Amino acid sequence: MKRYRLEAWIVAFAALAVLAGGVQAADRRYTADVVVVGGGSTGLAAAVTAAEGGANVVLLEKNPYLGGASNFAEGLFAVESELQRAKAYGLTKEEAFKHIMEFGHYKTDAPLLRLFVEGSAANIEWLRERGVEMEAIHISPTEPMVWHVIKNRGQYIHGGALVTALQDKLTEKGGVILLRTPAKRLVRSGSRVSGVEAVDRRGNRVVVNAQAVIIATGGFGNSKEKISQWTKFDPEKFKPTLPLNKTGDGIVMAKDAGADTEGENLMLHLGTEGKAIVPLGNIYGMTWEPNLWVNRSGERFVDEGIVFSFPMAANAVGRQRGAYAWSIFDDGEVEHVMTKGVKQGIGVIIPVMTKLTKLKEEIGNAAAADSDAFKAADSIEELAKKIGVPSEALRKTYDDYNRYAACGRDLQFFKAARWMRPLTKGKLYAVKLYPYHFTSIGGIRVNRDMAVIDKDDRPIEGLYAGGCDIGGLYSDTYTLWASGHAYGFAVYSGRMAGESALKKIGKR
Amino acid sequence: MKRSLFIAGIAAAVMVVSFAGRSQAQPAKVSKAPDAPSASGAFLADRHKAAGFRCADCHGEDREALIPNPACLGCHESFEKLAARTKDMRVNPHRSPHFKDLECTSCHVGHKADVNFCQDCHGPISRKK
Repeated sequence: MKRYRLEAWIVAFAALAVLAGGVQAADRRYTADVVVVGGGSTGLAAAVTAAEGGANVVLLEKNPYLGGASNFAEGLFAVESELQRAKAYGLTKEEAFKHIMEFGHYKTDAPLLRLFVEGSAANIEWLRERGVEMEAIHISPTEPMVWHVIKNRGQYIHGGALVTALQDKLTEKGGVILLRTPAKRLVRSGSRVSGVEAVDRRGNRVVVNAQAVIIATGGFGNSKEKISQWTKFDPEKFKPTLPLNKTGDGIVMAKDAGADTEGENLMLHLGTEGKAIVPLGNIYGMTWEPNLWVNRSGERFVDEGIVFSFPMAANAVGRQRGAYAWSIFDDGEVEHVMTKGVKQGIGVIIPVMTKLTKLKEEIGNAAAADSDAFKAADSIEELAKKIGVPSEALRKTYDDYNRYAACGRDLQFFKAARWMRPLTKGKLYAVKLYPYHFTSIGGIRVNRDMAVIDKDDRPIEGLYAGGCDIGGLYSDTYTLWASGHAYGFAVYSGRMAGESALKKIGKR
Repeated sequence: MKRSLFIAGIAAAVMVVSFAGRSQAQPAKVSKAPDAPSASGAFLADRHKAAGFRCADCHGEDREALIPNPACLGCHESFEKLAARTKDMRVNPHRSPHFKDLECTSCHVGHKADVNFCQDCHGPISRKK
């Protein structure tokens, strides 16, 4: 009997050890003041704010790198900034706020936008104090000088300079960064959110208990399923620019906790892809130039000067049958962009005035490969055949366009004369225009403290959100007039969520 | 007009030739990721083992744990040093203009064939410039 009992104890103890060991291997636990879900500019701004305010911070990032889309975006919206004052630029907060509201047809969250406009300049100063230098410029000839473009910092370019500066700051302040550790669900204590459950790459559970959870996962642009479910877009035709693994995780988690959402949408832009087309190369650069655009009927459909507002340009192309168009130019235009430079370019990747010195080479390669997205021809009839549009219709469009260009008056769509030239020199070319999206926009509803709210506007205790996971900022189209709105708001809302978290834990 | 067409024709011909050359060379380069396993089938981890390292030298006590960057840089010193070794690649993966402290295991999987993380966005990247 005694012996049996001893054996039972040994078995029980062994079982317990195995169990304990198992739990230990499968579960990593952290206790923090603040846990941030997502390490883009929103999450980093939130984490840095909280850490600088004395909070213990854990930041969960799904990718093997920080920054997400913020690595590739280039500038932040601000008005009445010191950088604008230095350029004697006079746009006021009042004008900007009113314009932003008009742009969104008053279908947006005015109190939140008002606070963002008010705080946008301080946002720039906050970044500058943390080593991020910027310059205020116009994103295009049609938009105001509100885009604060990030300067390169050592080896890091574009948004990468901002991300790495905040990454350094967070590390310096003792923040714990867990890469490749996607959050899976919020931990609840009654109605309160009390932490996050994540999973590491081995499938082990990682639990972070915290008094404040900040959601900053950058939207859902890389999930076809979410785009189908939450927007009116066909994800097969409206594709993400980059594979950044943004699948709406934060929005789903917030919804599960009772959050209300609104305005799920995409920040569209034009681009192209196909056989022998270099991504962001010289042919690609021609998709952002005000050439002659035709739809699959061989007809113009817009003043191509709309290309200077990239989301609107993609709206115009996106609503054509098949959601594509062709941008037509001639050897005269090739010569022009090779020697005088582009009229727009693409952000600061291809700045305005950039000479597309590889265009002829790329055209040769694309033609030789019989690219699906690029065609060359000796006549407009031949081009019509190659791009698959009715020959007669394209001939008429082409003749009309050349006539309008010659007399300096576009009788069809009032395109500005300075963007028009008869397409009569050498060969004719056509590059296929497709709509893409830089990021999704819209999602979780928040109050002015960036606290996540439910359908009755009640804050969900302990839960905050920011950046591209937020709804209420845009109507049907991204506000490019306020160039850098999404990036500016990401940093602003991250900081505000960080401040709110500090208040929650009694450090403010 | 005639002369410019002639020049364009020559240019096009040159491009066709150069493109043809490239398209032939590319697949071979692309299919072989940097540090792909040798013909013997040895992966990065096997090469470390062959060089006399034990599992714990990289993994620490938990064999299931991912290798954190400091474990790699403990011997390989720094991204700067590694960047000097890969400076002739068309895109130098150890001197990223985008990311600081990108996880080494993003490419160097260890117990499987390496992957070329940069290719996710940059498309096929040849090893040589």
